[in-house]
Amino acid sequence: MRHTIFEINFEKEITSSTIPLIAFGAALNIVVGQTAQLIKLPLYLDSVGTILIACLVGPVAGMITGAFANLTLGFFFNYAFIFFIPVTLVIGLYSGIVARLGAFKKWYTTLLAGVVQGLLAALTSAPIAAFMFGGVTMGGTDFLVLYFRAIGKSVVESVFLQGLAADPVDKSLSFLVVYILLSRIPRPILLRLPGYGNA
Amino acid sequence: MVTPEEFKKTYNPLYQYVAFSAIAAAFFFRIEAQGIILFLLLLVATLSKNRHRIFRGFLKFVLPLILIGYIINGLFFVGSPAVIIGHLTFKKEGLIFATRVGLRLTILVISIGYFFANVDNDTISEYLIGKGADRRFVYVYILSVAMVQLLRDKLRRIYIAQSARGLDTTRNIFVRIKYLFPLLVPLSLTYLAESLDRGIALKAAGFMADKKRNEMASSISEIVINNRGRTIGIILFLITLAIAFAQMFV
Repeated sequence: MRHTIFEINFEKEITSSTIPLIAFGAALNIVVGQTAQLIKLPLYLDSVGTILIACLVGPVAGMITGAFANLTLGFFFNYAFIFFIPVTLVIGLYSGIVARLGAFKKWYTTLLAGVVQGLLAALTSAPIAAFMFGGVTMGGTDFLVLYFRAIGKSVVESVFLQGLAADPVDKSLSFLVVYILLSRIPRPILLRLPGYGNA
Repeated sequence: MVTPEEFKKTYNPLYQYVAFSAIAAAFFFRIEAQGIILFLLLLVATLSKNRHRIFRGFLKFVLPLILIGYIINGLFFVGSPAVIIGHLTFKKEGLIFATRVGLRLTILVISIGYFFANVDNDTISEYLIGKGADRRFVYVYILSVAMVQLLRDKLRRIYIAQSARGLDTTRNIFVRIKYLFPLLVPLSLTYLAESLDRGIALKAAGFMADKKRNEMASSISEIVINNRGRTIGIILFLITLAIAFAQMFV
């Protein structure tokens, strides 16, 4: 019986040892986002857990972490997060792939990977924010949407341009946070993780 | 004395089908028909015993979102003027677009809220396992919900400790970014190590070995499906699909 790459990676990454890590990553996404609000940072930082688990376990685990973080956020805090699950899938997949390519070994490659991630996130979230929410997401970045609408851009263009302006900063900082977290993990703990070679 | 029968949980698929039908209507119905669907949904949600939970999420997030949507799209959409308030001119096309988005969003949010306000987490989990869902997903869901609270409590304690050591949130943005690390590093390391230990415990308990070796799988038979609710729900869903299909030809 033939299996797809996704199925093979799924069985390899989602085991009884990694399930609690995925749940931890999903919870970390939510809590880091709230920490950013607590110390009044004008950023989301709501994908740190996804990136961390994608790096430490693999891309499929990263995708599942992101999806469950948004599901949990959706069920308990705000249903709107459920609609952004496709964005978290892209973040998890991309982070896992670049981690395997060695992006988290040096700070500048991490930063570069974060900027590209921001562009990808902007591309994925723009149609959802435009068609589901009419370009409004109740974040501080709505002022950017307002500005782009005022200079004559369409809803999709405005949301995409807003994403281009805000997401690369947010995602590169998230990647750097993960880079620093990885450098602080004691070696005995790191060696117990499937993706220890990525750190 | 409590009989084993009383421990059984009942799952009513009607809630699930009401949500499915409303979601289908939000995507496939015309704007006029969506208004009727929203009215019916609001009626059902208001009669629901957990209505405060449904409307809390809506009032807190979606209502301000819709109002801001009206302002942004009304003011900046290209089109003919409809309403003039002082120096502000709201465009007709923008207001129609904001109405369409607002209606769809309200239907989606209230239908999802209606389902989750009426079915508790444990019942959904056991129902999903009974339906053949991968128990790994169900466990991740249950554990992540539990871990959010644990992590938040721990973060609060670390924040208080770091505040006592001089963490000041009124300083400039770069200093505040630096403050992230004394909060996140201890939090992440503690729970990373704990998650690894939890993984060993799961492995030792044979979580992946046999379906009958964990409590979640053994309790599948305790879920009782409300057949009447399922029948009514399926009929409702089929009617919704039929209306959506008929609209394509009218």
